[in-house]
Amino acid sequence: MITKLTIESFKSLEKVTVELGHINVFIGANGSGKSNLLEGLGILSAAANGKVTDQDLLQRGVRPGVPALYKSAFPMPPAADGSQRMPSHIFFAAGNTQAEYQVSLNNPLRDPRPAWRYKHELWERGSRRLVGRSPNLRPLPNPEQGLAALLAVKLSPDDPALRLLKELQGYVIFSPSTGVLRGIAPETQPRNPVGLSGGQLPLAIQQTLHARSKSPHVNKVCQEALSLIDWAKSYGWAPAGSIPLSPAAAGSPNVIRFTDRYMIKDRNILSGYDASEGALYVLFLAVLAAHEQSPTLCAVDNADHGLNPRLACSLMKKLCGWYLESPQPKQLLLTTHNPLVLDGLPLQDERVRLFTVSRTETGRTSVRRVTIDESLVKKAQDGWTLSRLWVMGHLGGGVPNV
Amino acid sequence: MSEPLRIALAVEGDTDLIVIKAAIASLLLGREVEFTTLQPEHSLAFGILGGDTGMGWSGVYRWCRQTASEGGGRVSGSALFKFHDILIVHIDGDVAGMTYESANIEETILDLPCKQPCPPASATAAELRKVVLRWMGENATPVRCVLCTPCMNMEAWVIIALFPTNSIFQRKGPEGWECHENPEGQLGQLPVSVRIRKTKSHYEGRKTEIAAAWPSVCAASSEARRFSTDFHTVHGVAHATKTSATGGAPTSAPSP
Repeated sequence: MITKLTIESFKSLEKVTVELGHINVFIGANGSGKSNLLEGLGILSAAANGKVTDQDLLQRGVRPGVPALYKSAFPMPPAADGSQRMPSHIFFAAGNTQAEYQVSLNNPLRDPRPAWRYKHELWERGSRRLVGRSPNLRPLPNPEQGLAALLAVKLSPDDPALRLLKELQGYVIFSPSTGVLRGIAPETQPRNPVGLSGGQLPLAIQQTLHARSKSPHVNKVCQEALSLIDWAKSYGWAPAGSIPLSPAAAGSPNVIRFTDRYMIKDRNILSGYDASEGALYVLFLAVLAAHEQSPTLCAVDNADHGLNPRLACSLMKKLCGWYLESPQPKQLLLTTHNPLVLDGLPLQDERVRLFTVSRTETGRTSVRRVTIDESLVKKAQDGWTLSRLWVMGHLGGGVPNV
Repeated sequence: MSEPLRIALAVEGDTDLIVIKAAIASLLLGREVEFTTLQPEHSLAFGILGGDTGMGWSGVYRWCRQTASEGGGRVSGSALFKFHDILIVHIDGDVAGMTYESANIEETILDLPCKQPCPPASATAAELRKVVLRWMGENATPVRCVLCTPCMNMEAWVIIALFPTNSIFQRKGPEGWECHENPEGQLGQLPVSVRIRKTKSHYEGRKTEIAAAWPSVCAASSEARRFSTDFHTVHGVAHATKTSATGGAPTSAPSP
């Protein structure tokens, strides 16, 4: 698990360090830098995997960008010789008490190369350096190839440094979209168990349901997911031709199958195309939490998309339980704009963390953890909620764009 | 980036916010600041009763009442002090001449109007501050709070900052701009080529000039001086509080 993430000179993140828990929720105004934070970790993921090209970034859900936009461009005091100073590289670091991986990458502003070049690279287990790269290293290794990824094959699977690297390598950012979840829009980044936009969800649901008999945890997640879809009696997977579906919507061979609890038998079967989008997002997150192939470290951008506020709150509460009780330790980063998500977070559990993300007067992203103390608990006794305090601006951190 | 100073502001309007930010930029000399603009909760659907009056002074009133409620009867008990270093509450001095009824506020304690003879402007400001403190449920200004009461309104500070030598504005007498009834109207009399309209974009475009001229504003305005002094005092308290990481904001006046 990553307990500390540092990003420097990347877009609006001039220098940001975040101490992460198992579930990490980032809330802030549009444009405050929430997605930049997720993407910074995505770039580190690509670097840990050995190469940082547009393709590597896209596979992780990171929007590729030209160096002129990736590198922070905040005005800085001029250098002693009067020349304009600007950061020459972007820097990322992630680690825990046992290991750390950090990298600085460069790509010229003019005529950028397809691959970012490693300027520094450091991979440590405790105080022992496994990989160290600097511009002075001789002979100069291939600057477009990460050294940690090369060394990784020589390490034991139990090595904490390798576990950290593997977690980083597997990191992706999911941005589920309703069209893809419904099966009427193509998935641009397919992967197992679900694509970055939610593609292949019907198959992932089938696999998850199939695993219920082997795992009480998966069984619990599946049941609780159903409890959040109040109109459905059951859900599953079916070939598209086996249930009523408009030919115009039959874009994929398999669909999600719901049984409506209110309609009469034989008229109560509908597909994901016709279901409420909230139900699809619930199942998407349930698959992420329960499927054995879902990444141990991932992010979901706009996790509240398409959700009724009360459902967003209930889903968040369940999602925290699903992740915290998972037999396979998993770590999740989420961004949200929905205040009621805050009310579903068990923040008195250290493993669940809420961060406000905002911009300072000079535009730099500032990230701050919201901790719960007695004074806030007392607010609850008086009937106040965290969501309401946030909307009022009392939690700081860039209240909505007003 | 060092930890930014977090300042929450309840202000009457967008242009007032820009002037206060400019003043703070001058007072803090480049320190990174993060502002949170506070507004009362309201629903357009409920019309005037829902607070559909924009912000204005009645918005500041409603914000004070809501936040005092959240704080268990006083603003200093609010959660906002856990997440902010300083709270600034702004109200223009000319509010001292208003009535609650004019803003569709049902109040049992009719401490408005409270206008005093001017000069000195500080007499009206002092009365108005007592009124605002009552709205906040406080007997004295909370330790990490600054009351900003430009007299008679924020445009007086803008005139002093941006047009120090303009002959149209030169006023005789000791009272200066602080006792002028309608500085905004004076701004409107400027030739179009130099006129500054009371819009967010116009004020934003002159923010740097206002910040640069802030010492001159303080020299010519007792309430600007008071704001600067109180802000420096509270900034020192906030810095000390931050290092000791306490939560609430105990109530006692940093200055009269």
